[in-house]
Amino acid sequence: MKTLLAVGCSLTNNNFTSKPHPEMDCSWPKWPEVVGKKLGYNVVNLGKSGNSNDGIFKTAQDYIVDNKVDMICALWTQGHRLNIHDMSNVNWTYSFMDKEAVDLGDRLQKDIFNKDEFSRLLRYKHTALANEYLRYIYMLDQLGKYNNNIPVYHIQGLRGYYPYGSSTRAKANTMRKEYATAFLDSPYFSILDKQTNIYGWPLLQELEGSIYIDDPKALASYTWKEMEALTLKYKISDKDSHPNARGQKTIANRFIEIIK
Amino acid sequence: MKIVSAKTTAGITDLPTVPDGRSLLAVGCSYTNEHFRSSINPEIDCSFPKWPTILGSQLGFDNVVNLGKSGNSNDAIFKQTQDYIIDNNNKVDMICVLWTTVGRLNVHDMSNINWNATYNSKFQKTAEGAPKTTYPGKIEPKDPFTIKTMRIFNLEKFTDIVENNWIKLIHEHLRNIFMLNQFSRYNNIPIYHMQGVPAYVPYLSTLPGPSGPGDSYPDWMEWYYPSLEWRERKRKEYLKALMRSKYFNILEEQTNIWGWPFERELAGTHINSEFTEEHIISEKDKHPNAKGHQLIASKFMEIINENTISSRL
Repeated sequence: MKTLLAVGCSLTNNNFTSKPHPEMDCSWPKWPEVVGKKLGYNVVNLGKSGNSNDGIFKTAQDYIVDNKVDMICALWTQGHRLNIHDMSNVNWTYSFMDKEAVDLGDRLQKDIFNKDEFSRLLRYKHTALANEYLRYIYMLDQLGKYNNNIPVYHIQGLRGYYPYGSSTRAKANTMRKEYATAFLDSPYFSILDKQTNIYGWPLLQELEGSIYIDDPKALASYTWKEMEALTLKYKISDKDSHPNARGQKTIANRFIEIIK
Repeated sequence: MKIVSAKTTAGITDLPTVPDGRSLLAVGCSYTNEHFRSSINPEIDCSFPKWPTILGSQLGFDNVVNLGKSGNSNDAIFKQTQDYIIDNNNKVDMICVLWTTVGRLNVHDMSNINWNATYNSKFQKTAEGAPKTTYPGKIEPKDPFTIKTMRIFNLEKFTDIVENNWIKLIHEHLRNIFMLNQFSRYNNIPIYHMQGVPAYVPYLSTLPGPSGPGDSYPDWMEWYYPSLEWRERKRKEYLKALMRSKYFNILEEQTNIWGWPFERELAGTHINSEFTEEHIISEKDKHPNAKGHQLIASKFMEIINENTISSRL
């Protein structure tokens, strides 16, 4: 039987549990299982809560070096997570949150950055995130090619970018535009732009791309808040935006759509 | 021969374009930087030819593209090379990489943090001579470099992470070498590797017995002397992790890595251990001087010749 390698963050994690709802049974089938069952593949699920895009790529790279794989599906995460030498993936969105983080892991993520200095760095250099993000998608594609042309499929799980470090709404809008411009200017954009294995390409709402949860047709006609309300049916709750059983099926269907 | 180089302030994508003709692409840290200036000895003229220029001339290349950047991390070295080749439609004919220490973190291509410098301010020796494994109290950075390089991080939180997981650094390093090798192979570009600054983090490895002038500790670390037993134990852990990495066996079979596996206990070496006092800028600044760069170029030449001859046999 063929093997499907699935990589991603908490949206892929087979053992996911909800932090806001610890009492909830979250053992519903995750998207890798659903895809594997429908297409007749054994599934190796390396999804890990808190994973960064760098961590996602490297997890796949390390696995493939000594294992045979017939298809790779990646559900990419936020660009706001930093892989510290494979030791820890720090989600620096927590650094910008005022509310108290709930557990030790989040506390570390909140405290590890000097927020003011890091904000300054982001304000001046945040566009580097765009190239970095596209590079990972490209590299995973290449990894498939290096290894007997293993087919690779991509979907964006969580939104890739938010203008953290911006001090005002106007600055945030400017940063979004700068990011979208850098996205288009990346040498990887024109390569990925020709591919058909990426759902929702070019992924950014500003460029009419989408993530798994978006309905591309509805995106143009609804506001952000309306979209949030519309997509609630795919989420665990309004407090936990991780995909519920329906959300996981939706991700699986999106993958099957591009695989076919 | 044309020489194009990264601006000292260049971001990862802000790179020069390849001129026409055959091109050598050189990547690395300050040991490779075409515009290197000694911060310790600013009075010394460092405009001597760097190893990429010497090597490019010896090999008869039309162009040398030097992407060496002071403070560069291994992650950035890999990514800059890939970005450059993609952006220039594979118009590169050879890649030479001088890898750096593993104690540098690439923060999303925005900044390379040399966190190794933090250890001069974090540790205080215990009565037994070993550094304390927990944060001893208030951090008092002893040098402005630490403050500058670590300003985006909470020093204490960050060092807690690397202190407890540092053994993973070597696997990451070998993966970077493997990935760049794979990338160049896929694009049919010959590639040669060398370790410049020792990979092993100096706070664990080289105090107080340096294996070469480049390994010696700076003045501001003089107070720090871990015990011999502690250093040997850490060193063994590191060497075991090196050999256990799944990339070790793959790289072990290659002939394009000078000094493999880089560590003297495993019969490897790095360029720093080849330096004598005549190869470095000064007693305080261990960067290669003109002779040092000639030595690096000659070692690259050695391995390139070996591979060229063996491919003809």
